[in-house]
Amino acid sequence: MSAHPQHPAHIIRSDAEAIEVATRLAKRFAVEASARDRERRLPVAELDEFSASGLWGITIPKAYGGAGVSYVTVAEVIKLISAADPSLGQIPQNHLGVVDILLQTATEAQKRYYFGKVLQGYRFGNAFSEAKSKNAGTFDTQIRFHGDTAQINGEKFYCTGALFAHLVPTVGNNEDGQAFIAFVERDAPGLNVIDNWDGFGQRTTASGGVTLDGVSVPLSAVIPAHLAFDQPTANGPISQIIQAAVDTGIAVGALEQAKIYARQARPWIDSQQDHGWQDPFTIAAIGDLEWRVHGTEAILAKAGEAVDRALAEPGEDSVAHASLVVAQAKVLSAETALLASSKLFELAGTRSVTGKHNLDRFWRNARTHTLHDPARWKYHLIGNYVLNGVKPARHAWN
Amino acid sequence: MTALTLARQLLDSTRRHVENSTDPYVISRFGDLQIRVDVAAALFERAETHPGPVALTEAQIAAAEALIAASNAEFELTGQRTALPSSLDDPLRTKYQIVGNYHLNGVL
Repeated sequence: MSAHPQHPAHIIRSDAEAIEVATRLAKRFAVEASARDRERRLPVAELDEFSASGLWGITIPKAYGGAGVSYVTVAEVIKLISAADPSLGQIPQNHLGVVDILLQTATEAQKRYYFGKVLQGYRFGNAFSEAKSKNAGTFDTQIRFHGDTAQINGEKFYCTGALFAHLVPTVGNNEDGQAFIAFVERDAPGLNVIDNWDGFGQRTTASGGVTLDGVSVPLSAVIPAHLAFDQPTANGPISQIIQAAVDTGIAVGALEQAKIYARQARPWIDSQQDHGWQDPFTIAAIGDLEWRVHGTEAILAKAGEAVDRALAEPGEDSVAHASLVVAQAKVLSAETALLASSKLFELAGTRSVTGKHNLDRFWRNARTHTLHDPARWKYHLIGNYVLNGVKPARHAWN
Repeated sequence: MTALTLARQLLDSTRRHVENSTDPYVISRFGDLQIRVDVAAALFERAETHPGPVALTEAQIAAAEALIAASNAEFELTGQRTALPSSLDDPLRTKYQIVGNYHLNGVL
């Protein structure tokens, strides 16, 4: 992967244009989504098309030349793409999170520089998570400052997007345990992106490892990312709403297939009907899935509005409220994606498990992506606010 | 009284009973119930502008399920159960069929 995009990206000007472009791209991405999954064929050409469409720059504020779309729109865009191919929906999730961390913590010059790059079509990957550190929020990777450069050493995993990125934002801690993000060029000496993601779902996200061995960047390529959580900002909810949008997309895609295959299913012998779609229990089960998917979409939109408010007026209360509504979207999208992708087989019958249909990709993708952070703690987060008035902890998973 | 209003009232009275709980299972249970009430409210709001002919029915299902969940939680956490209004004249089970037949078969 070169450190520069091959072609300059289109610049999207409005929320409506973003939705229109995403709808068009989703149709194209859907065509070979199953084949890419089956062959674990990485979506290199599709990603070039995706970022060249301008959709990776829609959150850049108008003051910096972007469209500054609402997070209702961002969630809708990611949902549309994920309904077609959730691996493609997931790949920009850290890119979009990083755009916001820049907005929250970078200097004016850094914002102008990196936002300019994104509008030209540069893609950020990520080297954030570590498989061996104590928990998701701790980092063994070190960043050390010497004069006007910073050195990074460490080992990362779950680095979605890094393989396809032009710049790899990398989290490391300084001596005091504060997290910084260094923007490392994809072809920088010492940066090694390892294509070793072998998960059974989200197979073409290339969410594998990154090693950093004495990687050196100028200070101008480092931002004090910890500030995004030391103070109340929308960054945690932004990170999370994109997760919820991917899973909502999987639910939408699975329900669509459930209806197609349920329409073709043979009637069950005891139903005494001529067609599977006349089965009263099938009909009721589709009714149940429909309201759940629509409810998930409705809460996802409310989460987008809450994120927009937290961005416009950051504060303890607005950020806590955004975390709460986004947590609802996380719970519902995880539940609905898993339910729809499982019910799909029940309603379509045994023939739907035939390998050629590859319909299991919906469940595999739902199960894999919903593990990003456990929904069980989201019920707790919401309940602790409702019962005890305790605001959610501020980090990238709330 | 609508199902959603009653669900909220039951949650409110049950909440007073267990206020300031530190039990993680009680806490997460309330998180779950809050989601059920909020998703029903969001679907009623959606039904106000959504052109689909079964959008309101979908919201009614969500509200009925939220009410059942709230009533179960009330019983489990307080040992009491507030009587619910009769739903015999507007049975929940037919609503799934109405919604499903529209979305699967285009039949109203």
